[in-house]
Amino acid sequence: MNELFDSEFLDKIRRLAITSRITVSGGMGGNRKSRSKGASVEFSDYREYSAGDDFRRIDWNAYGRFEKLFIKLFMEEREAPVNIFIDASQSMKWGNPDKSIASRRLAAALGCMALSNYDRLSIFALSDQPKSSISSLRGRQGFARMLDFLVKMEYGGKTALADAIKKCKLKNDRGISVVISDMFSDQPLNETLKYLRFRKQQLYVFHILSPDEIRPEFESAISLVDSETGQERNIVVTEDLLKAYSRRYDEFVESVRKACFEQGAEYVFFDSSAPIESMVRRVAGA
Amino acid sequence: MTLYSPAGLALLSAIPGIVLLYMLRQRFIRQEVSSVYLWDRVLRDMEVSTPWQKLKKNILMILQILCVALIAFALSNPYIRVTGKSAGSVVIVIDTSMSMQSTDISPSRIEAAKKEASRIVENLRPGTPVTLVDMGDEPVILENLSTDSGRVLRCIEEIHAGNYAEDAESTASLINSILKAQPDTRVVFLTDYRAGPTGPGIEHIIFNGGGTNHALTHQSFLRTAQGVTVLTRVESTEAYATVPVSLYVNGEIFDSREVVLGDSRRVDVYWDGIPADADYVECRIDIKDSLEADNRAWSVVSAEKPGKVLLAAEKNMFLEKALSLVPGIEVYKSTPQEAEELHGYDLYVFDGVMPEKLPDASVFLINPPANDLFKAHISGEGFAARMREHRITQHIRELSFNVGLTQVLETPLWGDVLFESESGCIAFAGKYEGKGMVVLGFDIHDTDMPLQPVFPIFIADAVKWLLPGKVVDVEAVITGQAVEFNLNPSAVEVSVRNPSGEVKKLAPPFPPAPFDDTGNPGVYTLLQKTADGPEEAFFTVNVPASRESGIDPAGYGETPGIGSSGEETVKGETAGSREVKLQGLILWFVLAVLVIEWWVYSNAV
Repeated sequence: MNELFDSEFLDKIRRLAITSRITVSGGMGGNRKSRSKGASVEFSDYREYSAGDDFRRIDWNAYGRFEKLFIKLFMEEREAPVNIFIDASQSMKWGNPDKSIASRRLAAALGCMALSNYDRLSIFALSDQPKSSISSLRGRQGFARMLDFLVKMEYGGKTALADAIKKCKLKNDRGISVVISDMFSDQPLNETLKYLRFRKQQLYVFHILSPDEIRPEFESAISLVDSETGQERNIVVTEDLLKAYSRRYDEFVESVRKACFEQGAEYVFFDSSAPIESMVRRVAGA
Repeated sequence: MTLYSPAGLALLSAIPGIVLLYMLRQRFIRQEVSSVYLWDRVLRDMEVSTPWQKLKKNILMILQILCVALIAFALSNPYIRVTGKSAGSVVIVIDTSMSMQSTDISPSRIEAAKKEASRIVENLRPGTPVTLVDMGDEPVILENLSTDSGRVLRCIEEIHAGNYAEDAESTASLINSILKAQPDTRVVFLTDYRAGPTGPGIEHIIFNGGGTNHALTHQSFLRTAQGVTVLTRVESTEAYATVPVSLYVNGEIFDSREVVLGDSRRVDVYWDGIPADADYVECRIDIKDSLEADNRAWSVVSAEKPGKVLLAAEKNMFLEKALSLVPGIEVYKSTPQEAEELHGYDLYVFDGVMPEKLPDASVFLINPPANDLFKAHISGEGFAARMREHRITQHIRELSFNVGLTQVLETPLWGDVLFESESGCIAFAGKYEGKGMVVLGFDIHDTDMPLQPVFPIFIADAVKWLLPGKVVDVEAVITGQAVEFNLNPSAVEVSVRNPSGEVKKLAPPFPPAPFDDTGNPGVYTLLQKTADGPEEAFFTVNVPASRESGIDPAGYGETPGIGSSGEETVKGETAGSREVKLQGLILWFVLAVLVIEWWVYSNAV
């Protein structure tokens, strides 16, 4: 874990979690501290006490009845399920810096923010099908489990997000879905986003690419080998070829952005070398 | 176009090999990438412009094929004809006269001419016969119809300019004869002015930079009782030039001054007060110009010792009077009978008699009796005598007289006619056994010759010619000229020391051949070993400055063209043509292709 999430990184994301949050629009939000003391709030629900919860919210009556600690949740405090879908296909384990590291760190940061907000966090590692997942994480315990899950994530297989997401068990509640991927998939992103919209998700798409994919610096004659499929493509690098790649790259990014816009998803692009704070702030400001 | 080495085209067989190399799978470096998702789309885009892309991919191959093709073409030794039909042979004439030493064209005119000659030879089609002519004081064929270009080039390399004037007339005659024998000949004159003949197939390449030159074009002296005065003429190609000159007497500096040439570009400088015992003088121009060879002039100014002349005659007032007027001689008289016993004279004048044994000196025979030396018969009376051109008569414009009675002489092989009548030669002059002899076949009294105003001049010139007082017969010897000496009759060994100090033996055997080793200007010394001891006499050799120093293009007139023998002269047309070698040009193209290939490769990478 130290390699992926060192103490400096963990401190950083904890600070980010305090100062930034992603919120569910439409009146649904994660936990937030009440700003007006004595304001009338409508009771909504109970949930079991977990470490870190405000002890003043403990419902002692419920404790007397069930001998378990429960805290009250109010309308404004209803937890929002946050689903983080991480592309764990083979193409994500590439780059300098490695996209898998950057994407997991981003997931950790987002997860930390969700957990700090008392949201219910689920993380799904996907390729062309769900590879692994962890769900219903809460609070501090959830944080440790989240980190452990992310560290142990394995990469491989092809990218087919739509197929994989559809196979994920999602709660019916409205929630937040975050997709972290390089989008190198023949399946149109629209399909994925449409499905998630159908599942009442507020969407955030994090499009992550490595600097080598943004501006490849190849020379001479190269036989490109696809890390997912093993397919080879022979190219002779020329100035024209690189210009054509640049054009196609711009079109690719634009197509992803457009798909997100059309489906009402927030689009954030970053390369794997960008500092985590800048990514998170963009999310918080989005 | 002609390919003289078509075997070079065999290199074209390498082209399929180049294509094969490109057809074989090019080595690609394996490189794993996250996904070829984007690259697939890029490659599809590139295929849209396939023709150009394929072309660009193959441009290196195309350039290499072009390179090989050009090299194969170059190896095939191609030539193209520039104009008309090709010349069967080529004559290259190189002017090696003194003016070609001029440095107004770097490094010199002769070197530039040699370089051009070499270029012409190198660009000839292989096997073209080449005749190389050195146009010096006489035309010399260095290579005749040689097909070995290497040999011709080596010969050109050894050519150098001399200190003489070119003999353009003889060269023109030589070229005319070559063209008559081989009309299909291209003639190229490499010279510094339009020397040589003109006509179809003849071209002149002029090497003349119009540089500044100063020259000493004339030098003479006058001996008086007070000493010697020398006159030196300084000329320049530049008007109003200031030229520093110096005079050396017997090798020591005597005087120097700066002379200013006016608009005429010429000035005569007088040097007075030269000691009477001076042997020779040298004048020098003390400034560098484009032609150094004409910046020095020499003259021998030593006094001639008086000649001793013995007149063996009964009585001849005309002759005695005429001899008394000849400067520089001492005349002694004797009777014909006594003359045979007398020795030690420089000249014997026998009037009406002839000794049994000729003295060991020059003789002047007037109306000699029959003898074994030459045949004669008596001619009739009353006819006119005419003068013939001879060195003795060079100062006489005309001398004709009437003869009453004369012998008609059979001119010996060693003699030249002086006077002739209708019947034949009546006087001749020549060198017999190395000694001068003048023979008049008539008694002076039987003619009105003594009454002619030029009679004393004739006698004086005849005596001068006969006396060995002057070393050489001519007033001025120019470089390259052969010299005949007036030797001391008692000389047993004769040699000449040149200005460099080298001594060349001339005699024995006697009579010595004319001395022609006068290529370098300066003071020469005639060394004679005689019965009375060694004798030294100086003579000078100078460059033909008056001919070769006018090095601006306006210096010379036209030389004979084809047609001097009566045929019509055609100028300006070239029947022959040049074949230009393309090999060098093609190799430059190959270099250009290689540069383009490097650029394409660099940009592709």
